[in-house]
Amino acid sequence: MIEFDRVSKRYDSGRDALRELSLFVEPEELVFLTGHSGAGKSTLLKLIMIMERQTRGRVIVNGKDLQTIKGGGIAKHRQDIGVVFQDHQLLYDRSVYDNVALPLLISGFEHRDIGRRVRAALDKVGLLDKEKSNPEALSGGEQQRVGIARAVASRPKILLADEPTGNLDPALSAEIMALFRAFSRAGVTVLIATHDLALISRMQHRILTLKDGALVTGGGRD
Amino acid sequence: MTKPGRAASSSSDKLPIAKRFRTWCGHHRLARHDTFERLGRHWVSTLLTALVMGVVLSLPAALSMGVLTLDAALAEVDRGDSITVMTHDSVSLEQASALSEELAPLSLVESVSIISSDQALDELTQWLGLSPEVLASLGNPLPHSISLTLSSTETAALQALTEQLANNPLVADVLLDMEWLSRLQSIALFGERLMWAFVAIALLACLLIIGNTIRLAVESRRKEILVTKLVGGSNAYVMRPFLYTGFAYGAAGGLVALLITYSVKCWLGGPIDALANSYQAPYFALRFPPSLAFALLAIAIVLGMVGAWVSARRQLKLIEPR
Repeated sequence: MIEFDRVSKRYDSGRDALRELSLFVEPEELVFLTGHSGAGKSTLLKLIMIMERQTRGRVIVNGKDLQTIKGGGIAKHRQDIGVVFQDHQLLYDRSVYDNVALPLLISGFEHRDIGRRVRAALDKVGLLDKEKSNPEALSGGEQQRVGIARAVASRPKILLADEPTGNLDPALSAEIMALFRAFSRAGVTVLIATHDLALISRMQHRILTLKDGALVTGGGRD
Repeated sequence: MTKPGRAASSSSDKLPIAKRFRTWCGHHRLARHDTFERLGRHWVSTLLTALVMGVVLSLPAALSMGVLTLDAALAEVDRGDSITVMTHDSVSLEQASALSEELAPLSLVESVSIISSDQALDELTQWLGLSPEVLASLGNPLPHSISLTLSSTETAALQALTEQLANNPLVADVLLDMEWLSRLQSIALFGERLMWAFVAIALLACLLIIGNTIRLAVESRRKEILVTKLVGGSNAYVMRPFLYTGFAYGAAGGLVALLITYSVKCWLGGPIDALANSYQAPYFALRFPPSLAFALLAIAIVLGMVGAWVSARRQLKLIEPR
């Protein structure tokens, strides 16, 4: 589903964020990506989202070499991937419902379909009663769950999360991780970048450990 | 739980054309609704921008109204071009009539009329407001004359005709009073160039006004644009509301300009009509034809959209998720 083939990324500043990195994530697999800050976790996710381009090597997502995707294809590629951010990236000038509906509007879902999917996604994250609220009025954990609902509303095949529990207490973090596990069981490929080692070591999923842009453990096909 | 990954794919490159068209229409509906809702919410700044655009555009519009008026008046005057042939004092009315019959078939001549010296004296007396007796006591110093109405004012042909007439032994003088016409034409040309200069300045000013307004609008929605791009919004998708904003500003500015220009027409109409009447020239009236109104509105809308497109494109390039 996601394949990195000897991928290197050097930023304009000269910093090497990834060095000859190869990894493979199977369809419907849940994989954790860990490492100290600056190890290359975010860069790896950005390459999958085509927010950055690799300097060398090949990134293949859903059978497509990302180097061949250009212009308008980038937006379409992003429509097939759900993303959860540490800082939620919610829009505070609109309701929770409208935030979750945004990717569905962009992907061109029918009006009725959008209502159904938004409510289904909010139901999954336990926020159905907050659809009319402004996200600003919600707690950090609730905002993160709105972000997750937005990421899964269009039922993407791939779900990426960048430090989704970064600002949450352990109980809330465990709740969020349980949600991701549920999505993985429902057929979504989930890749979560996190440094919450205590939490993920209990979950018995493959852990990819990055150090200085290179993979230390867990990269190969299982 | 359903199998989300398999239940649906949002990948629009696999969608049939009809569905893609529906999606496209839906995006436009959404952008329109979003734009007008936003403009309505900030109606004061919307109104101010429209007013500024309208005022800027009304200047060349009012000038072009003047130029159209002058051109139309010139066309009327042109049609009335004529040559007056004065005969020598010794020429009798019969000789003058014979000459006029000779001139009638010439290609450049549309019609011929003869004015006898008595007729001319009558007209002069009336024009001066004197009693006929006073002038009659002085004797009639006026010759017979022939007035030729011309079918064309083409310079070379006109010159040839004038020479031909001047060489005729019966003819004392040929009056070709075209100088005032050429002066008027020069004024019209000056007016037209002035109008084009103002058109150019107004176009540039409108582009700058819209460009700057849209630049600020893009900047104020930076986060929304970033998030939209992150969840798969294309550049066209993010650009659309700004194009509609440009359209709205253009249309509103055009309407304001129409209103101002029409008010100017109404305001100046009275004095100009009075002037035209005093010259018995009813064709000299301010003209604001529907074509000018339509062009003004269309130009304003195009300006709004072009300004928005250039500015939004430039700004959006700077807002890429990193």
